[in-house]
Amino acid sequence: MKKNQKNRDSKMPKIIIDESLNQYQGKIIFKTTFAKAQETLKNVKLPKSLKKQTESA
Amino acid sequence: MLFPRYNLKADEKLEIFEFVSFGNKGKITKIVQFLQISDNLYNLGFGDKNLETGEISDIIVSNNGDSRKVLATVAASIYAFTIKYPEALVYATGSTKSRTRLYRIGIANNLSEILKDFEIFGLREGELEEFKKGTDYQGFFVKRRG
Repeated sequence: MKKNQKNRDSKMPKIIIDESLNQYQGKIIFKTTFAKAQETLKNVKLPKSLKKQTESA
Repeated sequence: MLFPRYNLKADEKLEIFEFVSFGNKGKITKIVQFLQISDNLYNLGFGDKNLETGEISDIIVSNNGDSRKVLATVAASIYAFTIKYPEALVYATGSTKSRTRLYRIGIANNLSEILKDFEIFGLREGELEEFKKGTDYQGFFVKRRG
């Protein structure tokens, strides 16, 4: 089932919600790249302003 | 100015996007995934989907002749994702050095427009710094302006 999502501003792209894509939710589609990113970011110090936001979740 | 871009499909959470590239090699289905690494930190993954096998790969070089429009569409997916998740910090890097370079050029060519809506940082030698044109980065961080 598909439904249109209303544009919220001019830069917002036109998006159709496609429930068939829900099958990928929570799955690592790009395993190698994701593992590489995790490894790279493990030791990266985020700026304070960004750190506060990422820790607030 | 908005560059031409493809229409997007997305899952209900706006974490997975799909679009079809139309170029000199025909139609190629592309997938963009925003996957949480920790807290509000997300990795952007991007690649091609083989409709016959269902395989999705970010290694395939499609050379469909529409890279500018494809990048603009990926940027549009970032725009949509960060509208829904405004606190998200998105990390993006290419699956190869040449792809990372392509992303860097795409960012540099549109920097003033990007900076209207986003903060953008480059990752170099394990440190974040404000994105500067002409600098090589391992990857990029994008954060919607509050």
